[in-house]
Parts: sequence; C-alpha cells; structure tokens
Amino acid sequence: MLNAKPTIKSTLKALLYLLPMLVISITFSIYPIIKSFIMSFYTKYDFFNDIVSAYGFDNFKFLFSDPDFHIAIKNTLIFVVGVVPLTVILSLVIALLLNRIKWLSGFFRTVYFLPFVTSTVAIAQVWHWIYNSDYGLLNYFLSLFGVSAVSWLESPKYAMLALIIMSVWKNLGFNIILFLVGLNNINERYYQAAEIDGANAWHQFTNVTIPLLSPITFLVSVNGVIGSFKVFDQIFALFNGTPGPSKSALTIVYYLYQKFYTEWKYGIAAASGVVLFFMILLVTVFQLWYSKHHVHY
Amino acid sequence: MKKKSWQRALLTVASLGLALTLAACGNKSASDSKANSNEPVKISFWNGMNGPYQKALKKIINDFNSSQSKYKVVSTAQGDYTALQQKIMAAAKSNSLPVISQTTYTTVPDYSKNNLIEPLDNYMLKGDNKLSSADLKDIYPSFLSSSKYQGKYYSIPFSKSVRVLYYNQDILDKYNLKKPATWEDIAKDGEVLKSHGIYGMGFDKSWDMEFEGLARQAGNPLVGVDGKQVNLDSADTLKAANFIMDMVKDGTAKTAGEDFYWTQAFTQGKSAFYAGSSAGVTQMVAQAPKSLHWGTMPLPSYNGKKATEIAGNDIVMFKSASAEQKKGAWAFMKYLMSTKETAKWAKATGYVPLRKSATKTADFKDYLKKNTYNQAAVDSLPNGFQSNAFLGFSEYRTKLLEAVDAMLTKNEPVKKALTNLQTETEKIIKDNQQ
Amino acid sequence: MKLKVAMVLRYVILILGAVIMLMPFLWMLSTSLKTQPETVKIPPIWIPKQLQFSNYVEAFKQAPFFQYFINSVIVTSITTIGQLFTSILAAFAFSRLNFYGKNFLFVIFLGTMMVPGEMLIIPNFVTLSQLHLVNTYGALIIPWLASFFTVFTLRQTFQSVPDQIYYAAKIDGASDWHYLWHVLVPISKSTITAVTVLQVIGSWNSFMWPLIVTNSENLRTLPVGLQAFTSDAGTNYAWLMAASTFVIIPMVILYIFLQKYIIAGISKTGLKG
Repeated sequence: MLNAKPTIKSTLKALLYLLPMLVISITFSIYPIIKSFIMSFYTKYDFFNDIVSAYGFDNFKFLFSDPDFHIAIKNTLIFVVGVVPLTVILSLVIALLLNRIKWLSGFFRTVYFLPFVTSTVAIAQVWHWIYNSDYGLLNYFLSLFGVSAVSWLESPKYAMLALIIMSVWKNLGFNIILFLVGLNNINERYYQAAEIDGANAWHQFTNVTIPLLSPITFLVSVNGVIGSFKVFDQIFALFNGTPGPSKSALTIVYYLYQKFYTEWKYGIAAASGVVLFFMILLVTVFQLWYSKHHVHY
Repeated sequence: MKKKSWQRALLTVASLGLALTLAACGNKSASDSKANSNEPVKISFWNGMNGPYQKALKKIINDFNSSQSKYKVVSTAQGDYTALQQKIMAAAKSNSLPVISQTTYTTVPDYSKNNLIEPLDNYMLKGDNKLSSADLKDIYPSFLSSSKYQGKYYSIPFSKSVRVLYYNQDILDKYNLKKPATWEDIAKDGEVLKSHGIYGMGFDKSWDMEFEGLARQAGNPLVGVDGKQVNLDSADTLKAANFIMDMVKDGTAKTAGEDFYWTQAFTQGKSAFYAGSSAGVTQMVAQAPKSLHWGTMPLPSYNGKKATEIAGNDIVMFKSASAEQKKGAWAFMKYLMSTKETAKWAKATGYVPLRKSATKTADFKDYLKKNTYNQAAVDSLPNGFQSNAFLGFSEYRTKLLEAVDAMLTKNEPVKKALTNLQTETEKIIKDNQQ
Repeated sequence: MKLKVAMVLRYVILILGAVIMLMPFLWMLSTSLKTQPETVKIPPIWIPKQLQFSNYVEAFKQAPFFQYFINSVIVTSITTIGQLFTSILAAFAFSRLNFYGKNFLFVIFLGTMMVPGEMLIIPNFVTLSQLHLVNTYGALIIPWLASFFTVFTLRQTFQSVPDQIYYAAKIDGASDWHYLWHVLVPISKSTITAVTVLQVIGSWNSFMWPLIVTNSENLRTLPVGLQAFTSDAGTNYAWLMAASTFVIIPMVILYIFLQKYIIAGISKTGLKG
C-alpha cells in the first residue's frame, strides 16, 4: 500500500482525509493569494466596487522605478543577511554550551526560550525603552565601556541594527531547541571513533558535529529566511508605526502595508507582494538545491 | 472494516461542515440593523478613543440614549487611529460600515471620491433639525471650514486639540527670562540657555505642525484649498522651515525623536519651552514631578501674526446607512456639538470645546479656574487653522513627515528636502485628479 | 584544570546570555510597579521606592480585561484543537497514502508559506463578511483552522514511524482510521504537544487579525486590549507594562510546564542528526 501506485480509489480516500484542511486553506489562503496575484495586474481599479477597467504591467513598472521600493528591497536583504547567519551561529553556540553542562541546563533552556513566547506588540515597547538614547539601558551599558551614546532608533545608521538585535533576541530560543535536539541525536559512537583517530575537539566539531547537524542548520536557515523576508510586526511596533529614521527600516512588507492601507494603491501593493513572493521562492529553491549537495541526511 | 473507516471520515467532514454552519448562523444578530417598530433605531459609532477618553465618550452616549427613545447609539472602540482607518477600509469593501465613525477630516476627500460618505448639508443646513445660523456662528470657524470639502459639509468636528506652548517657570526664573511674545524671543532665549545645557525649545518627533503654523504666518498655507496651489518651496515656506531647523542645528531646539512626544523631556527640565498638543496636558500633569512649576500659553507670534494648528478628529456619516439611521446619527452629531455637551466633553478629556458659547458657561469658566493649564488652548482657538484637505492627503502627509525626518536624521538641506516635497506633492495631486 | 576553566567559561557565557534574555522582562515587571514620574527617571530605577500594585488594578479598569482573557482562552483553545484535527488528517494523507497530485499539492502548500499575511487580511475579511461571520468567534477561529506548518511537522513524524507497525496493524484488521487515531497519534504524542504549544503561542499573541474582524468589545482578545493605554499625547507606561505582564504570563507558565514535551516532540520530527 505504501509504495503502491496512486489509484482513483486511493485518491478519493486521501481527498477525504485532506478535505477539512483543504476547505479552510483554499478559502483563506490559496484563493486570496490568487486574487492578489491577479490584482497586481489591475491598473485602473475601483477597489470598493470591484470594478476593473484596465489591466497591464504598470504596477510592476512603477515598482521598478520607485526609489522607495529599491530602498525596501535593499533593507529587506540587509535584514535577512543580518538576522539569519547571526541567529544560526548564536543559537548553535548556545546549544553547544547547553549540551555540555548538566547543572541548571533546564533553567537556561527556559530562559532562552522566553522571548519566543511573548507578544511582539507588548515586548517591543520595552525594547523601545532599552534603545532610548538618553536613558536607555543599552547606552548605559555601553557607557560603562567608554562608548558614547548611540542614537539607536533615530539614526539611519543604527536603526536597522537595533531591529536586527531585537529580532535575533526574539527568535533565538526556538532555534536553540532545534539545535539541542539535533545534538542529542548525534550518536556518541561518531565521537568515539573520531577520538580513536586522534581528532582534537575542534576537529571533532568540524568533522562530526557540523556535518551531522546540517539538516537542522538547513531547517533553521530556511525558516529564518522565509520569516525574515516577511518582517513587519517588529518594525511597526519598534518604530511607532513609522519605517524608521530616513526609511532605514522600510522593508518590502512595510512598503506593501503603506501602499495598501495609507495610500490606497491596491494594485501596487499587490505587485510588491508578488515580487516578494518570487524573491523568497528563488532563495528557497537555491537553498534546496544547495542542501541536495551539501546536507548529510 | 474498510467501509467503516470511510464512514467515519465522512462523518468527520460532515461534523466540521456543521460546525462551520453553526458558527455562521450563531451571530446573525450582529449584522441585523432592522429593528422592530417599538425598538429604538440602532446607530453604530466607531471611534479611536481609548482608556479615560473612551469612558468619557460612553458617558455622553448614555446621556444621549436616555435623553430620547427613538435612537440608540452603540459605540465601539476600534483601537488607535491607524487601526480605525484599516477597519473602515475593510468594512467599506465588504459593505459592513457603521452608521458614523470618527476619522481625520483629511480622509474626507478620499472617502467622498469613493462615494462612501454622506454630505451633511441636508441635515445641517436644511430640514427641521438643522443648525441655526446662530449655531453656525457660534462654532469656531476653523472647525467649520475643515468640515467642508468642495463646498459641502461632510463631517462635524469632534475631538480637537490645538498646539500650545508649555513653559518651565523654574527655568525662566533662574535665568531671568520672560514668557516669549514672538518666535524670535524663543530663539534668543535659546542662545542664553544653550550655555547652561538647556534647550530653548522642545518639539515632538516631527515639527510639521509648528512649521505649517509659521509658514501660514509668513504668508501661505503649505497647500492651498483642494490642493490648488502647492507652496512647499516658496520663499516664505523655506524661511519658516529654516527658522526651525536653524534652532535645531544650533542646539537651541531639539525634537523628541524616539520618545515621540517631548513631554517627558520637558518634565525633566531639558527645555524651557515645548510646542505641544493641548491634549497633552493630561499626560503632563501625570508625569511632571510635583516640585516643577510649569504653565501653558498660546504659541507666540511670528511675522506679526498668530496662528496655531488644530489637530484631531471629526465624525463622518456613511452613505450605506438607512434614512432613519442617518436622521438619528445627525441628531446625535448635533447633540455632540451642543454647548452643554461640548463643554462636558472638553472638561472630561482636555480636548477643546467646539463653540464659543461653551467657553462662556459658568461651569466651564469654573473648570478653567481649577485647571489653569487648559486655558491656553481656549485662548488659542480664535487663531486656529487646519491644513487644507485634498485628494491624496494621506500620501502627501506621509511624504511631508518623511521630508522632516530626512532633515532631522539625514541632515538633508532644507531647500533640497522641500523642493523634492514640492515636486512629489504636485505629482500626488495630479495623479489623484485623473 | 583546563577542563574546569572551560566549564566556568561556559557558565559565564550562558549567564551573560541569560541576563540579556531576561532583561526586557525584568524591566517590564519593574516598570509595571512604578509611579508615572518614576517610569521616565534618569538614571533608571530598577526597584521602585514603593511598589505600585495599584497599577494593575488601574490598568484593569481601563478595559474589560477579564472578558478579553476569557475570549483569548476560548479562541486559542478552539483554534488549536481544530487545527490539530485538520492537520493530523492531512498529515496522515501526505505520509501514508498515495494519491494523484500529492507532490503538486505539497508544493502549493509550501508556496503559501512564502506570502506575507498582511496581503491576505482584506480579501479574507471580505470572504468572512460574505459568510456573515464578521464580529463572531467564528471570524477569529475559522481562518486559522489550517496550518501547513503543523501538517508539515506532523508528516515528518508520521513518516518516521516504521512501516512494520502499519502492516502489523493492517494484519490485525485495523482500518486506516483506527491505525491513525489508536497507533500513530499516541506514538506521536510528544510532537503533537510541541506543535500544540507553538500553535497556542501564535494564536494567543495574534493582534492585527482580532482587531480587524471584531467590532464589539466583548469579542476582543488580550493583545488588542493593550491599545487601551495609548492616546493622542502619550502612553501611560506603568499601566501598559502591567497589562503586558498579564498578557505574557499565561504563555510563560504554559511553556514552563510543557517544555520537556516540546524538546522531546521536536526530536521526533524525523530530523535525524
């Protein structure tokens, strides 16, 4: 049965099992996605009465010539490149450390996971205070090391960094747990074998741990890439409903939000969503292709 | 055996379907506005008022509901203003708009273009429940003018505040300074205070409202009525922007930046003056230490003239409501604007009263005596103005805030920022007219 | 000796990290117990002179938080249970049954994960209003009854269950349906707990959607209630932090009690090291 060829009968049966999920997801995600794709070609559109009087590529043309959209793409890429590697490295290091201790390891695991369970809306207010240039905690700590006050949220140079730090903080816990699980699953015998071969700790790490963790690393980075490309909540909450100083935190989804909800340019908003979709698709397909060659299952 | 599994699967699907249907039927009454003939007509009212403001509003609504038996206003808070706008858009798209809603008057052009809102002329100027000419004269003219778009009234003023000047009496005393009569005085005081590590003037995150005030005093509104003339790069406008930016660059003025409002910095004695919203008095009272002596006054004059921008929200009526509901909604709107109620509203919230007569009632005078901080707002009202609304206003405002932000955070030269803004705004107006 | 130094170093780094992780929470707690002027004091105060527990009382008076709490509990639990149900069925189909278009469907669902949710708010709102569901619990629940992330995770776990068990069950005369609920689901208990907790967290914290699809206050959920503290001219931070603490604590408790299942659950998703 398992490896049997699909038949009409088995397909019907599967369909029954899938039906509840299919009904919901077709109605609430596939249908609106298709609708948005089509909407991106509407150039003259009465949104409220759903009357389209012209189609075309104008929305995409507009995007490619809009300097704000270029900024949004640039910022989104900076965010992805900033968040994903940092999250992978930090969560791997912490997982390795946690894996090597016994006392209090459960406590640490809980603490590191806490940010993940909190609501972004609630905790961003606290971060807003931490980043304050006058009385914020971060500058207070930096001043202990002789670093002069940084205007985290008001300087276009640092705003993106502030956003990246908060995002890494929020999502670290989940990835640490994924790595911990991966580490637990590595068979002790590999290390024993490496030891017999005379490999030192570093060699064991690079030749045993890293390759055997690659499926988890792959999962963490794909997850991270998709999530980071779609960043919005954090920006909205951290910068009080603005895209950061001098648009330094204007990302594609923020751009979409602005076009849709404040400027009422539905077609352009939909088109920017389509562009984002293909960007994510491209990167994910690349990651999949890369994993086929480099991930050891 | 196999058969059984199929039956169960079917059963599951069926039960899920049932659940969906049940949920669908469960709350039909919510969308049901048609009432029995005895029951009062329900008038839904969306607003962006939270916390204590929401409480004050609920009280007034209760009073209205018990003052007559024909209509029942049901108000719901829809989060902050941003969320409220989003909700209106979603509701308009799905034909589930309320009868009336709070909104900024600057959305009126967009709403009316999309045929969503009802002109109020038929209720306000005609019919048996119209505003008398005495009423119309009594309401501050700047409120009425912003309610008008292309010759028709589309909104009524509601939660309004003006920009006022907060001053720190302790600092003034210590450095022998007087309350400023002109903006130039503020700049001069700033020079004195600079050497003591105190700013002369504090602004909120953006100084666009003070800027528009200065520009008007210097000559023109930033954008003319219906967007007919854009003055963003005119000599007067540039002078106004430069006046503010010179103070900022000189270190005699500062914007609130990430704090959004300068309130906090003001309570800590970081500046002698603060140009802020009169609605901020409540927060200022809550945050200021008891030992601090401070006060409010109307903004000083510039170029020999006085002007202060009015901010806040209006109430609009949606076309989709029934004739009966519209009639009731108007009755409620009129009630809100009545001398007694607007005085009550102002007292409870710190927003300004809408009528001149409200400020003259014994009750309100008594209130001002006890709450001297609120006096400045009332004194400012005769010089109040509101920016002209036009199609694409929210887009323009986003660009205006971006321009101010670029000057502050990117050190973009004033002339460059405003020349860009001029081009962009002209384009927005042109695109929206097509 | 070298080993000891390494151990100490590990703890130092971990403690430092833990402090960074906890800092925002401690600040939130501390602010929630301050007077208004204390919240903006420089240098910052960690322990207020007098703990203002009254902030919690005041914050609760600003909005019907008890009602919000009940709504959050109702919406979160129904969403989670419903979603688990649809996901378990779908995951079974994807992992144990062969059918036409399986890969196609799988790819389509993967694709839906790449679309930003902000884009779907309005079309979904319109759909719900056509179903007369706006301003009902249904609007808060039904669109979230399907999650491809959950299906994907469960599929991985189901696939890792050895085929022999399936055949053994078949020989014993068990139907697929029986096998799914009496064999597969109990075996995968820890993964199911893990996805449940993740789902509960997501549902509990959702903000934009509940605000958009509900009009009346007695349907609002906790995170939406946090809006009660913003006004035209500033925010009452002490109250906001008190309310935020109240929003966050249930999830913290839930996590602390269930964390060992989460870790066990993720280890079973078939992501072999």
